Amino acid sequence: MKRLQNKFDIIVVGAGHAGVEAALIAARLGKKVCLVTLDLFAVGRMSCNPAIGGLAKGQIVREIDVLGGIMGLATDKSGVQFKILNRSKGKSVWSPRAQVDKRLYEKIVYSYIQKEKNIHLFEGEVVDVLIQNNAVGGIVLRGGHRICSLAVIITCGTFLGGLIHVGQKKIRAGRMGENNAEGITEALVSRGFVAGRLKTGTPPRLDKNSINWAKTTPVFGDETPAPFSYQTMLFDPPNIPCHTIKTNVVCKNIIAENLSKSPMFSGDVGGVGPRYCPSIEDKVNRFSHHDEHTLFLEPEWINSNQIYLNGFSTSLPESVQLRALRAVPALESVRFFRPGYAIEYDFFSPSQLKASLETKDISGLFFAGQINGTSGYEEAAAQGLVAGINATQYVRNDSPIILSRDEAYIGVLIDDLITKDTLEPYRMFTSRAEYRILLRFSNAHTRLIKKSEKFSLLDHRGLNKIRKIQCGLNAIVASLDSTVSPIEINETLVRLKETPIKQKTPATTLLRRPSLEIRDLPKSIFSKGAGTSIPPPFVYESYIEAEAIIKYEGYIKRQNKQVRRMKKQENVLIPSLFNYNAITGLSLEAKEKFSRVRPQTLGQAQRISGITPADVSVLSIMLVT
Amino acid sequence: MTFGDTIVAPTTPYGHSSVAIIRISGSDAAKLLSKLSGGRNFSNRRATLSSLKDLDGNLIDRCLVTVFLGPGSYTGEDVVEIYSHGNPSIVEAFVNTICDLGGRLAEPGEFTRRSFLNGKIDLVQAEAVAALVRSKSIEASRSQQKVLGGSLSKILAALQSNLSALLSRIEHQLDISEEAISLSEKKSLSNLLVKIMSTVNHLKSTFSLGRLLNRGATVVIVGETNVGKSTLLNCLAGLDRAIVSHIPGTTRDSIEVELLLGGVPVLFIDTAGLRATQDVIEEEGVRRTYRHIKGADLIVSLTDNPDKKHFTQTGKSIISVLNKKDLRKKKINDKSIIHISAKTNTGIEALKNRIVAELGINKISTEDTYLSTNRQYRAIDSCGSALSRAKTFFDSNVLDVELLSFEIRASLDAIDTLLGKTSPDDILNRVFATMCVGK
Ligand SMILES: Cc1cc2nc3c(=O)[nH]c(=O)nc-3n(C[C@H](O)[C@H](O)[C@H](O)COP(=O)(O)OP(=O)(O)OC[C@H]3O[C@@H](n4cnc5c(N)ncnc54)[C@H](O)[C@@H]3O)c2cc1C
Ligand SMILES: Nc1nc2c(ncn2[C@@H]2O[C@H](COP(=O)(O)OP(=O)(O)OP(=O)(O)O)[C@@H](O)[C@H]2O)c(=O)[nH]1
Ligand SMILES: [Mg+2]
Repeated sequence: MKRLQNKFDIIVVGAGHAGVEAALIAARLGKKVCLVTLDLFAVGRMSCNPAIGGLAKGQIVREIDVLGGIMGLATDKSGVQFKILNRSKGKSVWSPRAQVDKRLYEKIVYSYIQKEKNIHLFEGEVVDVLIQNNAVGGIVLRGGHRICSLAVIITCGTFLGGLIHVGQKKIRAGRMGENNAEGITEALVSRGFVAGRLKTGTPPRLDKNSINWAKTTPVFGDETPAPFSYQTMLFDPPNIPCHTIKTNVVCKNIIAENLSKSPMFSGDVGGVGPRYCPSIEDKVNRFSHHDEHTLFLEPEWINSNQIYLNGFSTSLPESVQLRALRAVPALESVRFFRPGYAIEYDFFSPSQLKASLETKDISGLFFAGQINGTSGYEEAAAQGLVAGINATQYVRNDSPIILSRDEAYIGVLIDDLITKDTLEPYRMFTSRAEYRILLRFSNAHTRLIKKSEKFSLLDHRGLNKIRKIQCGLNAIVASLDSTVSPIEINETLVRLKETPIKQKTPATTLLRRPSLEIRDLPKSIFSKGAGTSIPPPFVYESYIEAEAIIKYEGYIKRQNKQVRRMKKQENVLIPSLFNYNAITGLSLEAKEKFSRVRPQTLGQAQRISGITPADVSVLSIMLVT
Repeated sequence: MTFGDTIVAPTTPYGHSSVAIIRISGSDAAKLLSKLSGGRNFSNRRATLSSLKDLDGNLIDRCLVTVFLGPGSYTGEDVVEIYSHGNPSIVEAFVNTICDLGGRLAEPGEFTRRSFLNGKIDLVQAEAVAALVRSKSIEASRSQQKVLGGSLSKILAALQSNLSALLSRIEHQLDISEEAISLSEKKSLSNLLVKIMSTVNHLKSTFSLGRLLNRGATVVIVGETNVGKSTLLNCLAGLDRAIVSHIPGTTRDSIEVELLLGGVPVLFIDTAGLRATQDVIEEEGVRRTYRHIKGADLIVSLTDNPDKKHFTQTGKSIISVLNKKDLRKKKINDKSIIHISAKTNTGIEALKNRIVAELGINKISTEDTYLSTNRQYRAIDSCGSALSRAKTFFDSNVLDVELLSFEIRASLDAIDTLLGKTSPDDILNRVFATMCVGK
């Protein structure tokens, strides 16, 4: 191990998904980074399910990739099956998902960290943050050792005050088998920060050899898989199936009879849990008319004996979990490596942050990841990346990167965090993005390459790879201007129950018909080499993207109009010391909320939960005069 | 326009009257009153006789004063109303003194605007305030009273909540990984959409009556010279308004008379008779006739000879009337034509009834809620077109869920703007600028 240096540009506390992205990007941008974490062997660990991406999250991973993060690359290298979800819905909401080999994923992430000369990886527990004159100056380790830096990024995940529940059993831990962390919460609360408790759960891990696989249904990934990273030029991942089974009424009744033994239900767990990724207790309780729930058996790594039981998150006593599962076909003699459990932990209300993820009160102090009340690897990684870039910008005395709601799901994520009250763990959803027609997974490059370049987040080689894909896409779109003659297409049109054409018609016009897809067009129109420069893994999605550009043209235009309207409000800045109490027209509630959240723009002010349009009107009038 | 300062304006029209009312609103309203009254205390909502003085201590007026403390006042802020003697110089002295003490003269509609900004009323209620002040009949004002009381807001709120429910069910589809939307859910969403559309379409259809009730209608009397148009106008008006003579081409300038028919202000226009003429003045008169025809809601086409053709114009409703019944012996059996004698005042009631029916005035009921401004109509119209586009997604074989949600959102936006929930400032300015000072 290298000798401890005493002065860093940036200290990152925690090497989970947020921490590693933060450390890597800052290091690549030339900053000297100290990455402190509790366990050197748990860097980039996937605490829960062995999967990356999924609805809305797949788009986030793409965005992370264009902005210089590693999550996409690491997933492409460790994925065991890749699949695009939501195919039955429109192309703007398609989302890539991959199941990964957890161990391999960790290994790849660790190797990235090790290769980076500017990162000093260090095992230890941070217990306090050094603060002077409202600016951060470093951290204090357990044992009293201090390390100084210009900026600090806290990414402690579920570890702060972490408390695991399995039935009535309680274990102090940050994850099963890992110590929790104490001190940081108290230290920050004593400096005026507001903290709260949240909870989340994880399902049991099953012994592969105790499952009757004949009774399960295999589910494979896509035949032509799409990678997450634009840097992946060669892509030939395995396609290992996961398997589905269905719970039954016996299982349901066992759970229902034992609800009182679940600490999530008996009120023993203090924090608020997620509504959307409910525990099996929750599902049984709330959807009591459903006797069946689908469960997924997912291997945690290639040839793993350990099977992740997706859909059965629980904090029931281990014996009840076993009894309930043994009622399910295929699991009659199932054994556990580890029971499901719930964990409660401290988080910091993210309304204390600016859009840069810097705290409003202590300059140079950044929060990212689950500590901000989010849930999920992708949400954590995205914040880590943004915090890493912005801590660098802070050290350089330069302005931060801010992504807007119409530009990236990451923009939606951070804007929601800082303006909405966190009542439960925040998970990204497609429906949270009002401009989702603009936020396709297949146009992440177009959306973000300018910003990526502006902040130098990718090197020249990286940028050029993306540009090549874009060029190919443009060529495909351009070739859609050519015309198609009736004999080339009418047979297809008849098959699709569309009216045949009588004369030569531009391909774009045909493509606007709802049931016609780009693959239905005659190949001849693409003959002039359109798209041939595209690396093979991106050919398919470039055609899909070209189709979306044409099909959605009218909607994209309308959505852009809405964006311009929103931007008007976004550009009205509110001084940070604005005195809301002096405005007589504001309601008491608005005064309290505005004073607490201290929005940076009128747009943010408008999105704060509980703020009425009247409050915004009053504020806007005060700001103009 | 700032908010937070204290505004003042006379709320009664300029001129001599028995009483004039001066209204003050804002955080300093009570303080200003205390200065005018030499430090007296006033209790909330009690009219109190008081001597009010200017800065030099000279009596302005001895009159009644009422304080309405916010938020229970018209604007939601502290409001003071002074009921002074109705002399313009007294009113002016009050306004000047209050401005000298730190008040500011209110802009048109500013009191109502504050009421809106303080969340006391929404935008359609604010529009009702303006319409109520301008309304010309008891029926029109009753209808606006209902809107002010929240009848339209309630319908819109229900619409809004149905649309939100629909939207959240649609958006839920985006976030469940189960692949395609189930047939039963598709059906149920489609039914809900159709139900909402019928509410919107009904609301949209109320605009023609709402506009009629609040802004009235224009009826133009058209015909050849000397058929008795001016006589008919006088007869309808019940007074000798237009010149009548046996000389063809008597009327040159158009002559207008407004009458209330079933609570609707109907403007009757008598026009220059239609004929080819060398007279440049009469020629101009005929040109004006055609201009009025263009803007007419209804045309009364008049002849005095059953063999002559009636005026026709596509796209306009026309009532054909045959005049000078008193001169004919023969009875003519043509039900589509109304027979009158403007001179002897026969058949006029029947004509009026036809006009009432043709304009739709008989369909107005003050129990119903109507859209009454262009702004309201445009918003409901754009809400309706977004919904029809949404409907096409259900009708086609591919259900593009996110485009569907885009259209539902667009329809919700339209309702929000209507209520002023997301109205950009320029819309607010437009709504309140149409009001008078003091409202
Ligand atoms: C039981 C459980 C169930 C979950 N279930 C789901 C789920 O169903 N769906 C879902 O999307 N997500 C789930 N997650 C969440 C997901 O794991 C996290 O959102 C994601 O890992 C958060 O990333 P992070 O970087 O913020 O924190 P973590 O990945 O938790 O990493 C935190 C890091 O900080 C280090 N650290 C903590 N405190 C200190 C300290 N004081 N000093 C030094 N180092 C410190 C730790 O060693 C660790 O490396 C679950 C997590 C857990 C634990
Ligand atoms: N007997 C009879 N005479 C009528 C009647 N109505 C109008 N007249 C006469 O018809 C003549 C023309 O009447 P006006 O009302 O001036 O006709 P007008 O259509 O306005 O004519 P211009 O203004 O010239 O276009 C006058 O002498 C009227 O007295 C009617 O019902 N019966
Ligand atoms: Mg005349």
